[in-house]
Amino acid sequence: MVDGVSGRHRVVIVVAAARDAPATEIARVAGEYEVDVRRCNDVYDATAELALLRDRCVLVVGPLGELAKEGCRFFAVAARNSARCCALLGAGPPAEPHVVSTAVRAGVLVVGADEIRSVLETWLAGGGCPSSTAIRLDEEHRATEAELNALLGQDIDE
Amino acid sequence: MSSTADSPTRAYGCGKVLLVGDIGKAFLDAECVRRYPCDVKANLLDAIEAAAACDYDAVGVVMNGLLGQLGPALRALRRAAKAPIILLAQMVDEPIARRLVQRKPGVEKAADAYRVCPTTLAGFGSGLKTVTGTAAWAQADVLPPGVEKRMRYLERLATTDDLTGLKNRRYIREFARQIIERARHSAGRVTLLVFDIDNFKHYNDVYGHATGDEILRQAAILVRRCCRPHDVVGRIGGDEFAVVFWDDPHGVASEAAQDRRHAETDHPSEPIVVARRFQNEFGHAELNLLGPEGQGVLAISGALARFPRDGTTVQELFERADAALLEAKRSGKNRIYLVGEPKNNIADLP
Repeated sequence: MVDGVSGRHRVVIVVAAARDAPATEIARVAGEYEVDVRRCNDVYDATAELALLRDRCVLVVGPLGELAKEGCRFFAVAARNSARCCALLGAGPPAEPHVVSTAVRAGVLVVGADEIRSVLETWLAGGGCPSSTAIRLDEEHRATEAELNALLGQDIDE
Repeated sequence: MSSTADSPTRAYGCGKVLLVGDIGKAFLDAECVRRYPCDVKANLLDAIEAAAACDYDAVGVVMNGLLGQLGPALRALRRAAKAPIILLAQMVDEPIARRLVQRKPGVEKAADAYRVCPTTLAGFGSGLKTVTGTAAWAQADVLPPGVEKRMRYLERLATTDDLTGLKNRRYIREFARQIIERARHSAGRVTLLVFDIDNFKHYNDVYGHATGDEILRQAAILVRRCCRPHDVVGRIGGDEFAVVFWDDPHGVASEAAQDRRHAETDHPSEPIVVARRFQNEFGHAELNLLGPEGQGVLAISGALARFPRDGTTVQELFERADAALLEAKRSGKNRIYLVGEPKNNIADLP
């Protein structure tokens, strides 16, 4: 376990194919923090896992393209179940540009695979779920959306 | 009944049946849904979430529009619901539904039963008892006992050829129409094979109608055995049969095979393989009714027409195939022509 930070009573749902490299890395990092890790093959499996995990503090991590299937409906499901959602760019099937914006607006943290350790640490550092971490993450979302929109050449409607 | 409220505590817990998808496309009386204790979810993910939160007696999934992701979704739904899953399939989805309810060694079947749509909420409810073992909906709300069974019987009569057990002409043409409509929007490929038995009148006249019927039954068994599970086979006339080959979105075809199927200029390789195999097996069929001198004399003539290359409607495809079949007969029989190809006998193709 990493000193000073325990992930007990928390669950990370990793959405990815079994041999997917970013997923394996996420599971490894989560394991360091003694976080309960659940592997799901796809967004449907993740929805079932999330819905069955009642009253647990959950972070869902997976490729944006996978999580955004079914018209980004999973983001609403995650919100209803008070789960944090972290979507990886550059992993799995590519996502449409508007999906990035939709995800960010839904409160999803959109990051690169190499940022997952800091996301996990930030999430674990929070006292509860949802927590002050969520507020901090939301601030990051805004920055991320601005950055992404700049990259994609889109205007931000305020 | 609750429908689509967002709060799990408000939305779930009062229904016994969960209906998923566009129920307007599955039920003739969908507007009567409030009479029945059920929850309706338009989206698969919402349905999976609801299924985990409430003990449903059964889940009905309208397949229309859900095909691309149905397999993984059904696995997740089963995991969350722990209740029988009944697929509601349009005619065009029936081959996929049939496969999804089949048990495979080591693999849990994706669904427990399927019903062909359109049906009625009442009929669906009364049929649940045979699948779930319990009456999910009160008997007062559903059809009287026996009516559902009678409906199924009439449905089977209307779509099945009683001599061979294959689909009948009406079903084949309607299925072809629906699958062509779907292929038109999804850049899919459909190939129609039409064939008949060479000299069938001779067998009828010389050996009698019982023998003629047996030849038709053997042809039906052989062609069904040679086709892929999702291909739809029917008897469309006296000794005339048709097969609709189509792209199965859940099939396990290799990428190379997929590429071949989608190449505009290429041959429809799998239908050609199936047609050749059937032609060969039928030609070597042992039919005792014909006596020792009758062994290995059976032959077929046929034609393959492709959507969209050879026609863009059912009518056009059948017309092109019928014309090519006639040409095959005139050219000496025992051959299958590929419509629109200069070297059109499939036996000559590489």
